[in-house]
Amino acid sequence: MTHGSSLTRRKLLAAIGGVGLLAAGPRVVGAMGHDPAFTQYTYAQSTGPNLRVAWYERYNGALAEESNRFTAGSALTNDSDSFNASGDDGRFVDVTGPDAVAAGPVLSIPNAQPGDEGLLLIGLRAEGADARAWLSIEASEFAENSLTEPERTEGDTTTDGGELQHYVDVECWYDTGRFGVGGCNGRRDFSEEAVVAAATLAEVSDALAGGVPLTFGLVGDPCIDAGTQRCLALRWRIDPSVANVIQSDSARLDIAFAATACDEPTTPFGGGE
Amino acid sequence: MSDRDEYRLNRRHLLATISTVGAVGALTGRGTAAYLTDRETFADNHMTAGSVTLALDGVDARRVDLSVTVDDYGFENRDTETICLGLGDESNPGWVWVRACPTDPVADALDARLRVDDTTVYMGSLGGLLATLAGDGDGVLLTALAGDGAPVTPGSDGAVCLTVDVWAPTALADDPDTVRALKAASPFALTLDAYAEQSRHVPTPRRPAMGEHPSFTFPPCTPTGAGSGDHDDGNGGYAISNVSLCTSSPVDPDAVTWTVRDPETGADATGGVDEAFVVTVTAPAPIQYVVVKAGREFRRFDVGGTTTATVSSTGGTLLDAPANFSRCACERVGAKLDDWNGPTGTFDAVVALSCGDEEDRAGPPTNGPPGRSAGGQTATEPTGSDAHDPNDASGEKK
Repeated sequence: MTHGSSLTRRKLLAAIGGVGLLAAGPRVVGAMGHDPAFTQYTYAQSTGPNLRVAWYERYNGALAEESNRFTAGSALTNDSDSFNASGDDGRFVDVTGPDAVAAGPVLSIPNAQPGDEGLLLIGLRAEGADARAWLSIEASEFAENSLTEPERTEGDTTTDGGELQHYVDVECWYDTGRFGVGGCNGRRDFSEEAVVAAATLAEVSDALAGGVPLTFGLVGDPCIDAGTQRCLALRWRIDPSVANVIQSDSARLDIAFAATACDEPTTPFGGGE
Repeated sequence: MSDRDEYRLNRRHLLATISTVGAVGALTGRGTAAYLTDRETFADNHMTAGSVTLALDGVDARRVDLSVTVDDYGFENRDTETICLGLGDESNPGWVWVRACPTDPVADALDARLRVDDTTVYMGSLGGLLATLAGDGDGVLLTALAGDGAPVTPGSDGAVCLTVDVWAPTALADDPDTVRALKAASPFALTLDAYAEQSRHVPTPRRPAMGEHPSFTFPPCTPTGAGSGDHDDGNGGYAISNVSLCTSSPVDPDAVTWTVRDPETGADATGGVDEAFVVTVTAPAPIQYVVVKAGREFRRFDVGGTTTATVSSTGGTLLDAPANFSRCACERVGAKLDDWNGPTGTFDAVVALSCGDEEDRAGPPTNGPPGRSAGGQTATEPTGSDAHDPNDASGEKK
């Protein structure tokens, strides 16, 4: 970024993204938020930030869940065009509040095994006003459940708490694409920054439960422009070398996003920034 | 100033008040602006790890110990054990490996059959069966015993039932030494270890062997000993059960003398020990060679025509001989120190051998009830009727 330029990096990224998407067709130009073809919702600026979300979940490579089913749209795919088109078409939804769709848990893994992996790709769209997005990830309700014979054989004697949260590896990054081009594809490019260092579920929860602002890799201008969306990827994995100690263990995971005014320095989740 | 005056607002106070209200409003506005937020929460997500649990006859265990006892000769007197191996109802599908540990070597004299879900997959000696199930020490894939080797599905419907029949072939009736050893070692412990691994993400079963599987190998088998008849000396050897002196001319058994020696010092230990590992024998005629039986092994000691020889349970030349070889171990004539008796510390008898008839010498075993041996020994073991074709039999004795 050139010093003294009136362009912020965010706008530059958006522009780059727009250039990258031009080839995809004229409709995509609007998808970037600069020339929305139409919107389903109308918001007054005075109502403050408004955040809508879209997502898809993959489990062991297969599509398990996606949000366009709530708006009868084509299923989201792993590219930014899909998310941008859905944003333009007003298919981003609320999952909290009176207008929430009945999304239910977006991540429900009842039978995880070593070698499993999953991806939750979430698009965040600021409606009506620029918004600063915040993220909180909190794991809880760790449970041993039954203590199976293989667990006992491995020396697991705990009857509560379980160990699963220590063996699920989590990686959370801004899926903005390479220098703003592409993105929302669930593949981490070397240029895409992490929200927090890859770690176990328990460690990520410790780091993010209090909430952190999402910068999307931008310095000094972390807002999502009104009428645009950005993607955040959360990938989890249980290493194949993980042994029987996790058998039948369980954990709960809450993923929360909040939108504030762009200059808001305080986490709305109650923790320190 | 009246009390009422205390409530009179002058302009300064009013300004101050208004100012204060304004300040509060400004602060409130600042605060309100700070908490103008929208929140979207993906709540109540859960992750639960699955399980892979074995079910050995429905019990979540990885080892099962079976025990077989053979009371009489013949297939119809077999002992049968059945174990159903599978995965628990809550388990995930998985590859199941099973491994048997060897039992007392004397059990090789017993015959055995393995059926997998009523399909016969093995027929031979018990030792051979256990060796088959042992693989190279890392077991065999359960579903490959009588199937396509697919992963086992959870629950009782996916269990694979192994039925082992063990019986004493009637040919043993002519080998009282072995029978005595079998009786002493009975019942025979059959230990089966099982191991299961999830099949998801494991498209090819990983043999639980060092170097082939990164995290699991079967535990080592417990070393096995022998029955009291042919006791292992603790150093891997077995005591002498009989000694055949092979001579060029007939020998009067009453003229044969013997001495048990301490295997370490060579001192006379006759009567002082309940096992014989070294024996010195003296015959009234030149001894050409001596055949010693210790455990399941036969050893030949070439003497060269002297009348005295010292033999042991470990020396000489190991012979590849059938189990009933000692019934007539000499080519022609000689004498046999038969049936070492541990409690008395003696051989029960010294008998004359006459093995000129080739049919008498290590001939094919008979299936009929045992009778008097060529050496005049009367088998005292219980008898059984002729063996039937095991494939035609379906009855079991538990």
